[in-house]
Amino acid sequence: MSIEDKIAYLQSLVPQMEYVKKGDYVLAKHPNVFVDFTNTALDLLKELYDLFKQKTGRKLPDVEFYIGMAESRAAFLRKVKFGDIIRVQDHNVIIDTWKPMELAIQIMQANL
Amino acid sequence: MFCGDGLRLSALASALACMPAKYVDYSGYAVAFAANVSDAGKGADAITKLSVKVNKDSGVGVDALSRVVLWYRSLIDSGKGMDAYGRIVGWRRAYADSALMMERLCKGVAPLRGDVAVSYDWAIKGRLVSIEADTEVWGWTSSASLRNFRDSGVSSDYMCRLPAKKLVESVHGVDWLRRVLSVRLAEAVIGVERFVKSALKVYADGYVGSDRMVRCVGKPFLDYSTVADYLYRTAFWVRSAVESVKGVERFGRDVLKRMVDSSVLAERLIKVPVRVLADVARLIDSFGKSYQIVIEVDTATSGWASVASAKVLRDSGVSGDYMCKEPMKRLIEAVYGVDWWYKFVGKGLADAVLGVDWYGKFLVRHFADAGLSLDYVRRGVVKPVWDYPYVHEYLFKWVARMMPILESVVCADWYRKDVLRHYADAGLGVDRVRKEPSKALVDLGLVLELFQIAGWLYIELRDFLVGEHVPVKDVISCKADTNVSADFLAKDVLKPYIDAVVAADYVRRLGLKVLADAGVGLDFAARTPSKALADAGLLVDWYSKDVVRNFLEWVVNVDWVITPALKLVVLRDWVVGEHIPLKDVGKVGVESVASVDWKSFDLASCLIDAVRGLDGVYRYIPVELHDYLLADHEVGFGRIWTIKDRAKMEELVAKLGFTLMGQEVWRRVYHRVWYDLIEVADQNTKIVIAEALIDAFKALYDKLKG
Repeated sequence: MSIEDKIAYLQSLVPQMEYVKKGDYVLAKHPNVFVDFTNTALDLLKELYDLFKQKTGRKLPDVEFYIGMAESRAAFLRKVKFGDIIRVQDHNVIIDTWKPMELAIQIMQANL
Repeated sequence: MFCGDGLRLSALASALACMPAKYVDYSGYAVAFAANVSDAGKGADAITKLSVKVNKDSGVGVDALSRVVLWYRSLIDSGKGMDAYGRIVGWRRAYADSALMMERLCKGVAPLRGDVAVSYDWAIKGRLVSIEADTEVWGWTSSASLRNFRDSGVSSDYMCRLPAKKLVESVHGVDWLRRVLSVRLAEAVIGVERFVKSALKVYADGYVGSDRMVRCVGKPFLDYSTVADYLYRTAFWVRSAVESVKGVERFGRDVLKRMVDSSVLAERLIKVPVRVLADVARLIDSFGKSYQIVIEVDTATSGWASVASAKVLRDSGVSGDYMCKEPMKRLIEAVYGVDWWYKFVGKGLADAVLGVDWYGKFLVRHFADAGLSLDYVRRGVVKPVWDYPYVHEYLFKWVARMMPILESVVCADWYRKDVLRHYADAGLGVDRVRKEPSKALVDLGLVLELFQIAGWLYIELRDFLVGEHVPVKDVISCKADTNVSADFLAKDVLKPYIDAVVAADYVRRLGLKVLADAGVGLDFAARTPSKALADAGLLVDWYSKDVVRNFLEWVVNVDWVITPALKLVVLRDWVVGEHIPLKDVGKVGVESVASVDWKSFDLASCLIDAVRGLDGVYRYIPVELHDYLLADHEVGFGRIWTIKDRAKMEELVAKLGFTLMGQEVWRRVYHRVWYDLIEVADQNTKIVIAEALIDAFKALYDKLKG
């Protein structure tokens, strides 16, 4: 997939993310959509960094560090199914993966 | 919302920052928790104290693991670091020494060269002056001067060559120095590179170890779930076994009741024909006596017909007597048979019921013990993880605890065989019982056929008396009592016989049916416990195997979990302990390499990355350990502690997480798909963050496209 396709795919995932209200049950699709989103967003981030290197001819060690961190954390992402226990990690790893991705975007923006 | 890049990123940062703000949500939980605590009273307090204690224990255990057991590994790792450090320091010293040597050499060569030049100049000049003087003064005496000049030239030449030689040597020395320096530099670079690789490898191992730790931690808990699931199934089976025992017992009692009822009915039914037969006998006797009188009265007038009638009557009397006695005898035998059958079957059934009852109690107790053992095992599974110093001792004890379970399996197997034999014996007895009354009832059927024959005989007698034998008819018609008696005999006596036949047939059929039912029931009763016992045996067998297997896997997993956990703790200690030396090494490396302008930035960057990465690992380890000890611990114990206390546990664990970790509060709750209510703030906030991330991606991409 190209970068545009990945962005379009991420946008297509957003409507699948259900806004919930108090009293709703946990469904498997709730965390699973975020897992798909995170994996695709990580691929997109790496492609954007490659594009950044092509355009500027520079490497940003911090960005590489944060991408590596996000990759290592994304390895813990897990999809769940009916009856599974959504563990603490299943929630926190998503946030933990997004944080270095956000920092990498910030650094690339600042160096453009 | 996202009108600019800065705003997008700030919104993203704000949205991400919202996640730790779940602490606010937990504050809401805290309010609910306070209310729950007031409601729950001592239970919540006990849970809190227990959780705090467990966490303290876990902290002590992990601390002990990190400080005591793994110091040796830490020393090895620090030794590697110091080795690399030593190489760099050694290279730097060599470099400095070589620089000193070079400087000293250059310093030494320069004055030597100056001295040589001065000497040469002096020699040339001196000799020339001397030659001139000699030429002027001595003229012809040049040979000596020439020789002296030649000698001085040789000396000068020698003096000129010596500095050159020294210079060449010094150049060689410099070249050698340069080469040595290059070698030392290369070695230093290799050393630093090796050091960096080693650090990076440790860093990578840290991540792999962390991954393995998380996976390993997950697997035992899945096993715990399997064990818990098995416990539930075992409890379900025990309940089923109890119900089946109750069912068999109820069935046995029902069969007994039915048999008793049938026996009563059969006895009643048999008494009726017996009574009827007795009445018939009395009637026949009365009838015979009456006819004897009539015959005696009519002998004079009836002639041979009376004699024949009398004979027939006498014969019928004999037949009736026979008919009365024989069916009664058969019926009595049948009654005896039924009674014996009833007693025998009843005893067998009672034994069976008692056996089943005993089996039920024994097995239920056995499985209750097994359940308690498993429950105990499950409770004890988590604790040894942080009681590592006592794990091996505990495991040995655990194996010892497994022995009674294995023995109980053997006992259950023996019991199964014994009960099966018992039921097989009961089945044989019941079969025999079933055949014996059947034989009696078949005899009874023969008797009833005799009854039918007797009825036929009476019909024949009636016809003989009423229709075919006119003289007799005339005689009988003259005797109203005789007619009445004959009619009575025909209608009232014959009918009870027919009724008796029907009743006996009913009795026979009922008895057969009851026996068949009883046989089927007993057979069912015999088979059901057998099957249940066989199932129980299989279950126990499976249980023992499965538990043993789980236990062994658990032992392996615990070992496997602890090893990477220890490794991570060592890594943490190493990072903490060698953090400053590592920085120093990096600094030395940067300075040394920068002095020779050798990729100083890359190496420094690698070292800094390594330090930062290890620092990241270090920060990640306590998070993982904390999640493991608190969150998964809560999951593991959550099934033991009732689900209704979960809300309290969430708040409690969240508070402990905040207190112990002193960092942003992550979510410390677990959910189960389709079983629990979702955390509204988490789900909705994540959607906002996802949208902000997409906006940030788009903005970056637009900027990159230019």
